[in-house]
Amino acid sequence: MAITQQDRVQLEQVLRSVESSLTAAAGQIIHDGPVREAYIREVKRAVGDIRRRFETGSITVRVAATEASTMRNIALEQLRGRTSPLGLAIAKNLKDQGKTLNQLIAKYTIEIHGPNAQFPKLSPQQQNHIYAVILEKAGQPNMTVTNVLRRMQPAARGLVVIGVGYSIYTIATAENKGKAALREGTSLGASILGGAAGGAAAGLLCGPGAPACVTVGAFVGGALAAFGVEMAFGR
Amino acid sequence: MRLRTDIALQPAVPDADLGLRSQVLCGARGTGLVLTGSVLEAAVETTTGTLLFVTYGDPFEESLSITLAGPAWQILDGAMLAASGASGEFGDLVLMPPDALSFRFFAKRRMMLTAHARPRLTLPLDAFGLGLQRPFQWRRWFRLKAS
Repeated sequence: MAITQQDRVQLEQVLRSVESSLTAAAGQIIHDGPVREAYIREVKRAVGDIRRRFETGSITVRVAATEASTMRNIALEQLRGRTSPLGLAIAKNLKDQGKTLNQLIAKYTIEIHGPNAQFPKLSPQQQNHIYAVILEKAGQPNMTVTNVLRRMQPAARGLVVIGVGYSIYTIATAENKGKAALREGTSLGASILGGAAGGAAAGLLCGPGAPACVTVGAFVGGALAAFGVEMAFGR
Repeated sequence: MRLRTDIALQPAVPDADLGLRSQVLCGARGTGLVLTGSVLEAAVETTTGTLLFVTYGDPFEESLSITLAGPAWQILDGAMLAASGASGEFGDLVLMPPDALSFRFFAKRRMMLTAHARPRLTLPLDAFGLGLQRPFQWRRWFRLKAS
């Protein structure tokens, strides 16, 4: 059975929507990398500043631990606020609350002094040691998490490169190269924006802690945006 | 399958990129195996080696690495529970001999681990949305899923 021109156009549209969906998801992963790196830099800078004030005697170790743990929880909240809809959905699905100072005090009192230890019954030196541990921990953001995102970056960039390569091929083989270039550029941008919008809309609909729903939303958003561009260009 | 009490961690020199690292000690002697993380939550002996549950030591954004080490302390398989902006807490470890165990980490969700006597063919895809990352490989020495 011969493949008609209509079959060819439909196949091209399906391939385009798959490529746009993958580009949209990859765009969200690429977006989260620098956001995380900025979070790490900010945490280290802020805790370094608090530690300097403690070491010069401006504040006590108790105040330093309180400020550092509060700062870390605020930084985590800001990180979630700047994360892509997909990254936010995963974080919310797993747990989004950092530990309070009291929870940290209880945790390290038991870890260091045994399961029956109580913080108020510790000596002032022992209490200060607990505060010092909290200060130290607040300044050590989890590099494992950072490395997970770093490892995903090349794969995400690879997907975008494949998408761009496909667009270049389409432009190179098109009769009207100017129109093809405009369509491909619009399609690529629209799929990334559509993916982000689709993921955010799905987050509103299903609740932010639903990664599967947000992923589907991002894919659908990317695909719809690509279809929209194709239709706008009369294909 | 049984808990091992002769295993401990010794802090290693932190790496700028990998962060906190520790050497695994067996009976207070170094094994040469260095893992990312600083807190040994549990060590479990299986028919093929030792499963090591190690948390990073960041109470604000805790992650868990699971490593299966062979008899010569070579890494046979691994898994990581980690996600940006999320924090877990290891607990509620239940051994289910001969080859399974369960524990909780993220959102108090129970995870089930089944150890295999020899590596099994599998798709190199991880369950989505659980914060689970595993090395890209077609054979696994253990299976990890939410129960």
